[in-house]
Amino acid sequence: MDIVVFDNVTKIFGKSKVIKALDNASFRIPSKVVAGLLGPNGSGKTTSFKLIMGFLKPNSGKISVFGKDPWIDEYSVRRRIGYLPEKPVYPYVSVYKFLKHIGKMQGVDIREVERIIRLVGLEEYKFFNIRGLSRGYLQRLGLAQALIGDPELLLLDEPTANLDPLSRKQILDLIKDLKKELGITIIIATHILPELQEVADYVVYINKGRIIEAGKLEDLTHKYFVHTYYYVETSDPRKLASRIIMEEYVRGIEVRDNGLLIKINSAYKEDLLNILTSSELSVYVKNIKHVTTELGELYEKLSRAS
Amino acid sequence: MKNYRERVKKIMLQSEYLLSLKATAIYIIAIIIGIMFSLASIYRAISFLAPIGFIFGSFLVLLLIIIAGPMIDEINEGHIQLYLATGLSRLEYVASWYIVAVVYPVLAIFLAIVLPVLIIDPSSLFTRISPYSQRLVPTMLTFAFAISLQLLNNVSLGFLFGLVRKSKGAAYLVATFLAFLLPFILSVVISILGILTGYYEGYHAIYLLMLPFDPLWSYNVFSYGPIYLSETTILIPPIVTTIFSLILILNHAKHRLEV
Ligand SMILES: Nc1ncnc2c1ncn2[C@@H]1O[C@H](COP(=O)(O)OP(=O)(O)OP(=O)(O)O)[C@@H](O)[C@H]1O
Ligand SMILES: [Mg+2]
Repeated sequence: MDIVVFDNVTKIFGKSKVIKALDNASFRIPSKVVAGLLGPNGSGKTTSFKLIMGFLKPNSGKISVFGKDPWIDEYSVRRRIGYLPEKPVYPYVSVYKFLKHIGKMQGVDIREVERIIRLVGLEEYKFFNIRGLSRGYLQRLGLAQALIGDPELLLLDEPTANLDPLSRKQILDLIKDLKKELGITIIIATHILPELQEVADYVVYINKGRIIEAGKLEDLTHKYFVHTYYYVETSDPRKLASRIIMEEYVRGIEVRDNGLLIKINSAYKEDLLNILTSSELSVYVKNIKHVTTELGELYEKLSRAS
Repeated sequence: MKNYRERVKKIMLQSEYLLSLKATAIYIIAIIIGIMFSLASIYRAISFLAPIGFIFGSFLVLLLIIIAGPMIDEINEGHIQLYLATGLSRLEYVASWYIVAVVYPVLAIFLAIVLPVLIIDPSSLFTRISPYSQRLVPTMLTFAFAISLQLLNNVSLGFLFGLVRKSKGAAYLVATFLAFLLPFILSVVISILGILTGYYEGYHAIYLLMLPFDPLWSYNVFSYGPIYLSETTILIPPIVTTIFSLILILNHAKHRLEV
């Protein structure tokens, strides 16, 4: 089932000087994916999130989230979403007081709130005034309030913006852990691509309010001939590596755990699969998996396409 | 039915939280003013208080609209998104603020005026509060109602305009206009017309314009001069405008408010 469906949605801002933040946008996000909502500044990513949350009313078109109209069915839609706004603004109270209130509003047990405070690493700062938190910790607070209430859909608007490399990695690891949880769908709006690359398996590319592409990362990779990574589980990594490296289209090989991480241009996907399943090598190969794609390259090609 | 109770519970939770964050000081000031007024009436210092009673009512209007101001900031700056994200609806959010900025303080002020009198000397409640005129002057109790109604009315209208324009300035301006400027402007207009034509009494009807908004000033104005209205008549128009503006506030929150 598709969790989020945009059907010819147009959203216009301003009266005298009109800005079309979304222009006949149609896309859908299937459930249980991690989707990247990509696009340059001012392309309409945050606007899309606000429409999903029912904060804005579309000028035309139809939006359906969990099968409902978020502008009308406010409670039943939003209760199931965790939202990290792009520029969240908090009241000047303690971390604990704020999160406790957010929990109360959703009928969540206080122990669950405590668990989430630990999960995002805010324990030490529990009784700090939010005013005194550094950016990295503010971002953790943002994640915490989004995670309270066990959301089925997470909307993260630039979750790693303004963070130092370590905090960035910690937050990314958190997102990875969440991804493993059953049944959660995550949409991340960002233009910091290398990180998204590690988690995303679905991409919506938007430019000037128009949807340029939407689809599975693997499909788009293939369509735009982008470099991509496959992970091959094998009984004999060395032997397999020495054979595969001879293929001229292979751009890189790395031995990782019990397998190989192979980088190729997706144009040669078939060739790679053919050789791996050939009688010569198939005895070593246990499993083949598409891992990820050079998102930066895809992004560039999509930008040029638009 | 369950749904309805859930809603009320959420609104109360949010109001309680807002109350714990904002404007405690202003609440306290408002209540102290109420009690002072109450004590003055008990000790028959009314002749001193009555003339400034109308001004002090208008001053409370400003105090309350200042409590509502941060709501507009929350909407413009985006705090509201965090609260709405918990499942609170736009209408419930605005209703919580209305309770904190309007309902609770008006109730508190009303009780602050009435309760001490009731406890110490109930007969004071029915004492007429103007030393100047015997014709139409409210009793202490009617005055308490009028002041509550004036607050409800002016603050609701300020709240409405602030919400629709998403501007604190609009809220303050409307409330100030209704509480201070309207009676003042009308007086000036009537005086000028009177001076120009030498015919004062005929223009007194212009004061009727303030009837839907300013019960306190209306008592002041319609207690002398060619037009006079009964105590209860004066209370009815502002009740109607207040209910009307509350409906508009909730309707705007439900159908038009984008955040
Ligand atoms: N409340 C608003 N009033 C007027 N214009 C707006 C409003 N919100 C967004 N816009 C305009 O709509 C367009 C899309 O904005 P949006 O914030 O959705 O972009 P974005 O993709 O999130 O950009 P960024 O990557 O910079 O965050 C921009 O041109 C922006 O100026
Ligand atoms: Mg944005």
